[in-house]
Formats: sequence, C-alpha cells, structure tokens
Amino acid sequence: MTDELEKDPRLKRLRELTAALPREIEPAGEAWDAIRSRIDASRVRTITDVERSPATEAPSATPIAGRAPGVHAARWRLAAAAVLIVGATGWLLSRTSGRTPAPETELVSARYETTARELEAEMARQLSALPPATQDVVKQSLAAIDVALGDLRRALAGDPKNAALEQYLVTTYERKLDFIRRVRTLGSAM
Amino acid sequence: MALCVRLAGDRAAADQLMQDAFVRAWESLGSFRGESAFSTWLHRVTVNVFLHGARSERRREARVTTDEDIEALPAIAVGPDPDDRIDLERAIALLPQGARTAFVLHEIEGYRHEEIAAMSGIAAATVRAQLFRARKLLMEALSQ
Repeated sequence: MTDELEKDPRLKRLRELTAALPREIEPAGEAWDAIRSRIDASRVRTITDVERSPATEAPSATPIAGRAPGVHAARWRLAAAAVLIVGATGWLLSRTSGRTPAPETELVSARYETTARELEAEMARQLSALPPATQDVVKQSLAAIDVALGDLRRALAGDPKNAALEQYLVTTYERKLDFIRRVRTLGSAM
Repeated sequence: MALCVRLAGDRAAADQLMQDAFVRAWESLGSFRGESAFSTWLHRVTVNVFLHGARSERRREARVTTDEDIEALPAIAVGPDPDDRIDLERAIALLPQGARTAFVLHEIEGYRHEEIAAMSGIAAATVRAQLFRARKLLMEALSQ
C-alpha cells in the first residue's frame, strides 16, 4: 500500500509543503510568565529535595566515594540550569538587536549586580570545597550567564520599550542569584 | 513551540504542552548528562510529555477527532501561495491524534519509525500504518 502511495504525485506536493513549514512558531507573550511561575513553584520543591539529600543531611559522615554521584548530578543540574537560562535568552535575542545600555536597563542591572557581587564573594569562599570539575562547571556557567545578561542589556539598548526583554533581564538576574545560592548550598554541604 | 503546536493540534493545548515541557525539564535537570545538545534533550522531554499526556484519559477526553473532521477541511490550493502552509498546518491539526503524532514526529521532526514506536509504546508497524493514514488523509485534503 505504501508503494501505491509513493507513486501518487500528490505525495510529492505534500512533502514540498511539509518541508516548507516553519521550524519555529513564536509563543504567546504571557507564555514565559506562566512558565516562570510554575518553575518557581516547582523550584521550592526541588530545593527542599536537595536539602534533604544525603550529601547535605550528614556531610561529615558521608565518605567521598559515596558522595560523588550526588556531586556529579548537582554539577550537571547547575550546568543545565545555566544552559536553560542562556538558551532561552538566545531564543529571545534572535529577534532583537542593540548597541549601548539604556538608563532604565542600567538601573536594573546595578541593583542586581550589587547583590550578585556580594553573593559571589561569599560563594567564592565555599567554591574551593567543591571538586575541581564542579568548580569548572560553576565558573563556565556563570560566565555564560553573564554573556547572556550582556546580550540582553545590549538588546534593550536598541529596543528600550521592549517589555518582554526587560522582564527577561530581571528574570535572568534572579536566576543568576538563585544559581549562586544553589552553589553556596552545595558548597556549605561539603 | 512549533513542535508543541503541531503535536497538540491547537494553540491552547500547545501553550499548555510547552509549559508542561519546560516545568518537566526544570524538574529533570539532574537527568541531563550533557551527552547531547541541551536543545535536543529539551525536544525529547517535550515529546515525552506529549506522549505521556496523550495516553492519559484526560487528554483523550479533551480532544476527539474523527475522519469526519477531515471531510470538513478547507481545500488546499496547489501553488506557491504561502497560505498553503497555513492550510497544511490546519489539516495536520485536524488529523486523528495517532496519525498526527506519527506524521509530525517522522515527517517534520525526523524521528525514525522505531524511535516513535519506542517512545509511544506501540509497534513500529502501527507507526507506519498511522503514517500511511496521515499521508493519505492529507493528500485527500490537498486535492479537495
């Protein structure tokens, strides 16, 4: 029956039209807000789970060998969280462009950068407690997030009235702070 | 989002699927091992979320499409008109769920029959039959 279909000239037309279908369709503007709300609700459960993990419950009694899988999973979780942030930013920026930051953007950035610097200084002290591979992931992930933040700020400079970009800048800063806090939690559990 | 729209069949269900997929991805970050691109992993999570939901009674009740729906499809004009693509999207959305899933995953997303079968929990022969049905129905819609 498939052979019969293959001979039908309409199948060629169907395949041409299928190949021409767009690879991406823009989500509704409020979609990211809804996702963010649900992820925030989910994050409460996730952090609670991390806090209940063996590595954080009894760090001094847990041998290094037994702790390794948890550290490995945490490392990838941190890396993936960073990629999720950076990936969503890339999608958003694919439709925008810009040059220098607008004043409103600078205000938002200054507010978050101050907090981030304080948290990062504290995190840096605890980072040495983590395995070298995890330290590398943390540093690379933070660098990637900072690149994404820089791209967002430049995009906002070119499109300062873009509420979605502004909201995403704020969200990305909050995610960066959350990322740093998770590293601190992991570091203090070692 | 395109994957969500085509699998779910309508925009509202696609929005819900996208939300579900992102939340599932967030909750499953620990299972991401970096062995594939993050986008590939997220893509697979989305398909799995859809297929899991499609098996549930809730989703079966939410959307029931029959062959009669296809008869109500608007005719697709054959030509270079960009509206052809929109009409094709509409026709895909009105396919019966099994046929639509097989068509979207195989013809648009490039999954192999065996991969779709494994993810869906059905035989590869069933996937091929669903794909045959989808092509036939879409071709009929094209020629109306």
